[in-house]
Amino acid sequence: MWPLERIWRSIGTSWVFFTFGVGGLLMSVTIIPLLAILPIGQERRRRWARTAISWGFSSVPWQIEKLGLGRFEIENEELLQQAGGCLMLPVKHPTLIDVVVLISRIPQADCVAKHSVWRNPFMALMVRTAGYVSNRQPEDVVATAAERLQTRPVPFIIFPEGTRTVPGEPIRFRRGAARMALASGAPIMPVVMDCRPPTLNKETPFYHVPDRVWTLKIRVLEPRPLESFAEVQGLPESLAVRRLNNALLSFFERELSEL
Amino acid sequence: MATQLPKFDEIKDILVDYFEIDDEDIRPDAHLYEDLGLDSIDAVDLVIKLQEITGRKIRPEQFRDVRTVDDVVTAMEKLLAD
Repeated sequence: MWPLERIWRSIGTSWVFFTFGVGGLLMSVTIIPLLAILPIGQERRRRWARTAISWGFSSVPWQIEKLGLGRFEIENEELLQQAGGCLMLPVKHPTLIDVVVLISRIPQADCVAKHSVWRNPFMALMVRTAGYVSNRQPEDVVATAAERLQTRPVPFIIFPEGTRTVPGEPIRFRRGAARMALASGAPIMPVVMDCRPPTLNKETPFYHVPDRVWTLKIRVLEPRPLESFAEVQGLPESLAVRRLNNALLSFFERELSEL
Repeated sequence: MATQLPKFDEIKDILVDYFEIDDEDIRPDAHLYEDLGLDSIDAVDLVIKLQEITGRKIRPEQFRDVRTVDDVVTAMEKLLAD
């Protein structure tokens, strides 16, 4: 039998998920369709939709803190001001919440979402209006990321792991993030994240809260050129991608051990 | 099998040189994605490489069912026989 305090956190977490779902639903039948039909132009439509989404997202960490379900420690948050035009690489991707926190702090960021969202009747209009990028065609995602990074002053967020981290297992990177870095030449802004004790991961249902209040640590690092990770000049692309990917992996392993 | 050997070796060399795959992992039945860790963009790169070597244009449908190293060899044989 769980102590009362833990039961409370389980109910509280369920509540936060419930409000998130209902809030998203309400938005997708009010603000989002309104923005979609208003004659305000593609660019403004996208910006306002992202503002609305990030505003909705920020209710999640706010409630979590108020209800005492979890804590957030964000280091160097002011560096996010410099994130425009950077390829932002968050590692690990420990929970469902970390991405919500990031989007709530960087409203205008570009990001990649699962293609299934585009087929969800409630979410489809939202991601389309906000101009997020679908992960359906890997080649297209890389090209789109590069194009946006070169033409827009907002960060592009991509999780190098491609999915949430499995707790207790070593981190593994897909090569998409390295490809985007090479294709765009954009500066890389590393964001080091971890959650202790683990929660809201792929292994456990959301209501199965850990035995104590969790802390999500997020450390933002200064943007740096990709050459500072690996020397890839003159290499064929397939090799450059692998070299950069390995260098990024060791960089993040080191940073994570110091988090 | 004997007639396949040189082509298999050629493809093996590409996989080692351009995709940093250990040569002992590369067997005819090795699966490109699951065993050798290629991703879909690597597959495109591999096709481009093969086009350069053979000087032939490879159409996507000729490569659609390719899963293993041996499938690559077979697809190349068919291509060169056309």
